[in-house]
Amino acid sequence: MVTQKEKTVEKKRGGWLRTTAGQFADGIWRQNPTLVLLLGMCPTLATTTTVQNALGMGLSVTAVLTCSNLVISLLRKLIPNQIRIASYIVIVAGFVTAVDLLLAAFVPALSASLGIFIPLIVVNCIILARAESFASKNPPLRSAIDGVAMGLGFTCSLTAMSVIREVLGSGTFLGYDVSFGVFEPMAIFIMPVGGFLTLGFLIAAMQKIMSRGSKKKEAE
Amino acid sequence: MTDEIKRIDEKPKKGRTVLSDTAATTAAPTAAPEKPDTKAGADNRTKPGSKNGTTGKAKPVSKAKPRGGSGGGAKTEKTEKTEKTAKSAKAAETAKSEKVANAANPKMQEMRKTVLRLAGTLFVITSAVALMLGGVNALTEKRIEQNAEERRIAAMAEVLPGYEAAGESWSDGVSTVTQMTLPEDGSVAWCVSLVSAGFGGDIEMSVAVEQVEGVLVVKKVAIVSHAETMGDPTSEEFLGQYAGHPAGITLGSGENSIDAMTGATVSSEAITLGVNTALEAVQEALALGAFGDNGGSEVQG
Amino acid sequence: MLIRLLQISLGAILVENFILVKFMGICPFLGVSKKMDTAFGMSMAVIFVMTLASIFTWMVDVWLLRPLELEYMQTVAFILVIAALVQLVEMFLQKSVPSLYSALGIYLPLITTNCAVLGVALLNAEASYTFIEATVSGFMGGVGFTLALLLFASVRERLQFADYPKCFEGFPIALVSAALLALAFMGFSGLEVF
Repeated sequence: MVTQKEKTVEKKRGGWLRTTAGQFADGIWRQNPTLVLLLGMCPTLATTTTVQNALGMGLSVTAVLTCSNLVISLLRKLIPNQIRIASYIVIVAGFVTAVDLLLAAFVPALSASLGIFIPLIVVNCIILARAESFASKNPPLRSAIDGVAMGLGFTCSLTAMSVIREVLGSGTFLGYDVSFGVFEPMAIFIMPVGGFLTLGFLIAAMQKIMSRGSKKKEAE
Repeated sequence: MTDEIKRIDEKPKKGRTVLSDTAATTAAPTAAPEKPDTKAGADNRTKPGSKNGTTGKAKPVSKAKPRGGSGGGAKTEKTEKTEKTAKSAKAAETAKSEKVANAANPKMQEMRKTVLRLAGTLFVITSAVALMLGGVNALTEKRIEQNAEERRIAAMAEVLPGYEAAGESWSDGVSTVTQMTLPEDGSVAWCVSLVSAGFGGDIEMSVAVEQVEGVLVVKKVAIVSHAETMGDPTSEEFLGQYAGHPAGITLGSGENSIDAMTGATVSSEAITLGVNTALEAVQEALALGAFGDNGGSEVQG
Repeated sequence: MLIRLLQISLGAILVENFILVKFMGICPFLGVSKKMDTAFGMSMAVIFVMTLASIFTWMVDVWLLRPLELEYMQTVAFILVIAALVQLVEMFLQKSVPSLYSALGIYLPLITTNCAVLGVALLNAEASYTFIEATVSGFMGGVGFTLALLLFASVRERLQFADYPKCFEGFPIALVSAALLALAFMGFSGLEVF
């Protein structure tokens, strides 16, 4: 949360850029929605069979997240407390449907391969969590930046997962063959089993790195 | 007792009085003992004390809730649902508290105002969203239809190149059959598009069917999209086998059989099922006379 | 008709299990599966909500959205129906089974964001099921969810005695166990009894 006083202090220290950078660092690494906050598992497992799908999904979620954060932040003083969750859901659902229609019209192949997971962005925990914990308490610009940052973090983790799954599972990258006949792709990676395994190992790796970082800090 | 008498003198409140009858039957238990008194002495219209009125209003409306709406936009129904849950919860609370205290009206009015404000805000938000979506939909509708049409034509062109569609498609919910003719010699064939459940997901396929010596046989099979993981369902080596086979194709050995893909039995079975279904669909369409008198009445499956 | 319903049931429970094959409902799957009794309570609530959600969203879709050609409002309408439904279930549980209500705690309102509930509604609409088919699909989807959740909870209860690297604590080891469960369920693909 950024108070008025902090803002002026920020400006004096030229810190607006630093805070924004901090927000991005949070979104992509320190508070990565999938690998650290452990939110939004469903699309992570389901849409990472190819890098193209992962990128498409990640960017769609970023778009929805940014727009809904912006609108919710703009309306935050007007929405009564008792119906805030219902209102957030309606707003998010509106943007999700808009993205769904636009994708179906202009990128039909992506829309077909992402299938039902586009409308399911509505119930993606990340969006509601950010709306509740950030957008409802912060000014519009900050909230929009938060949306972009978290969305980017989500896209990064999706991409990381999909690179592993596509290269090892189909021997391709963005559709281009990268196995060079050297190794036989292991189909298990593009099946549900592989999804669970890859995500589990990625989160474990993240937790290991995080704990090493905090151990270093303790030692200092 | 004085309360009842006071209320008799008041002008009946609009909106609440209409539901007084239902209020009598559906009011909260706390209101029950008052019923005989008020009914005996008062005009029915002024009977509802504040709590009866509130519960009366909330209850019948909440009965309508699960049924969805009879016209009216989806948004109105949805906002009313949330409004009702909030209202009935608040109404129950109000009924209990007013049994103890006696200052019914100002508190109740405030309650109503809050509920209306909440419902109104939610309604406004939902309407704004619906309007925005209506706009986006208007923008993208044509494009989406075009895309679907292009896909269909491409799928048909793959199995029946050079043919043109003749008339409307027929569908039984699973397969869509389109009669097509070759302009050069007027020969007739049918293109069937359907979806079969494969190993990794749905297999969308196009099957071209023609009539050879009175029997419906496969002309060509093409896979539009699939999510299979083993074998190559789109390979000519596998799909080419279907050409010339009539309905009732099996895998393995037998009179009307083809070879499955090694290591991909489920996929092979799924595609075979799709092809058989396509053949049966064309037969049924013809039997029902879906394409007029063109295309053969003496067709055997 | 019965065959079709049996096909739908088998599909929803085993072949296309919502959690282990379709990847819907992962959040509660990982979040509520630490203990058997919370898992059981949660799955009962989910079956209830999924069935009712299938019924009401079918009604909204077939009687309201389709006649008015408002199919694009499906997502918004369905999620509002589900949110209202969960609110009702919450109130109902609070009054009639308060012990379960307090045991479920935060997880009850979280059913609103359960992908499986919205997922089954959207899938029913996509497949244009009849009323009975939609209801069966919703109910059986919930049963499949329960099956996966309970199996997983029983595994997880024993995990605390297992010896694994520290960095795998929490979600990672749970995900690896889920991977093995998914591997087992893969054996059902292509299953066609009826």
